[in-house]
Amino acid sequence: MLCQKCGKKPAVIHRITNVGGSKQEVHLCEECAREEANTFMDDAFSINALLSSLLNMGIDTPIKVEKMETIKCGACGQSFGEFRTTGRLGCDQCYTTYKDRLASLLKSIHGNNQHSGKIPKRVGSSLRIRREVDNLKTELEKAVKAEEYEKAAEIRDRIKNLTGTA
Amino acid sequence: MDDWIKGEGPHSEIVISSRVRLARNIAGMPFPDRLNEQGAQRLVTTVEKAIKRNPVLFKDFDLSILKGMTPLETRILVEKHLISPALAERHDQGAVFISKNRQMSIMVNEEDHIRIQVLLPGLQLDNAWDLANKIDDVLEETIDFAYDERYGYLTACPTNTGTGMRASVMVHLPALALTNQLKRVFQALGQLGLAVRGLYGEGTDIVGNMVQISNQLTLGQSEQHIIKSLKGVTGEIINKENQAREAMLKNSRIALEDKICRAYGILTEARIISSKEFMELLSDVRLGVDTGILKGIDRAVLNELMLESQPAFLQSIAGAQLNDSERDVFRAQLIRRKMK
Repeated sequence: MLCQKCGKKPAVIHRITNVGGSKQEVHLCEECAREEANTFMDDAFSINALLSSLLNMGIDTPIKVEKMETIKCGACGQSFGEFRTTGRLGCDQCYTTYKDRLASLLKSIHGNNQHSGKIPKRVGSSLRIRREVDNLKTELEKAVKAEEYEKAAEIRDRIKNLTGTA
Repeated sequence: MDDWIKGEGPHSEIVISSRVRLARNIAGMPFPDRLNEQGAQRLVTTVEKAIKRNPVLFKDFDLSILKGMTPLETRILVEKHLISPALAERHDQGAVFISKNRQMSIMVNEEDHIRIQVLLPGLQLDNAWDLANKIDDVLEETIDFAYDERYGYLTACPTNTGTGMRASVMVHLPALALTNQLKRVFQALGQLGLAVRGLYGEGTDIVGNMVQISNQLTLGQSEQHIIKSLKGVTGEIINKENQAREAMLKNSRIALEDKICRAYGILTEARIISSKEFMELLSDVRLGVDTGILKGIDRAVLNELMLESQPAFLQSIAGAQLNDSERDVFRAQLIRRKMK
């Protein structure tokens, strides 16, 4: 029997579903079956395996990777190799120890590597003010584009106030 | 009774509950996986002190140390969604502070040092975020959290870095499932960066058309933005599910009634019933209650049964250890007692 999807390769996966009394049979080749499975959330595909594959995606040659494996975090003693197998970092200092690798990893996971959410109060008000000014600047641009000059002037004043106090 | 069980929140005919959890770590302290016993104990004390300093939280939260509990008691907390399966696995280190109304919990020594969780009935993501944020504010008054200007809150797993926030809704989508539209919905959610899971989160299967939808990304978007988009998507799913329900009522009412009434018949007469079969039939009956096909059944009874028919809960009601087949018999008894 040939695969129902591509019609080229022999079907090796046979799926029989019974939905509301109507029986459906699907016969697929390995490749098409995998493709279909990938469109679903596959829990068997662990987060660790995913992280490892993302880490391996970098520009490093295998030799460099090997060296990287043995580098240990000075604060908690966990090696990069351990992180690669467990998918978990040892402590907050690991973020500094593996700065470069994590920058690209975080980017591949989240499509972004700049936090724009909550800032703890004790981190200091200056960062929060800077963030607010950034947000206001975007608002200002929007207001100007929309030719809402009154609103724009108001926002400009708010920015002035904030930068004055920083 | 836990609030989500009452089945009263906004849009509770489709959205069972809304949840927000925040992952936090203490600066300069190894993450729980690399923390020794003393370190883990110290961490519990640190969190306890932070809670005690706030008169409101102090009065409201009670501490449970997992080590002092039986495996069954721990399992019940998981079944009640008060702690995560991952915390239950850390029996020697884990601890949890639970609020009196059981809407809020603060887990200690999970994958991260602290995990704040708020669980509310129906669609209430804004309120859930608000409460979680407030607890976080209180804790950060005394605790120095691991935070980086660029990466935000630093977590053990890079998939949580940034906001450390996972917001989710538990939705019941029987009509989309019956009309074979679930797969398409899941694909669309995946493209929007949202994850689809089963009743007990990561690694659990979707049973009884109960689907957990959560944000996947934590870095680069603000908490408000994540909440807003999940809320928007949930609203869209509510519309789609309602449309599918209406279409079924209009085009194949008798077939739908038949399915629902058969499910009710089996649930109230069966003598042996597995957890999976129960969840599937419960989905039909719930749809029957929501569409008015079945009358006189309180949604709270269905939610209560959903919780009580779980393995650990069932055994605690029975007051004895039960093997798989004994459980199936006892479950059937419990359902008959509650639904008749």
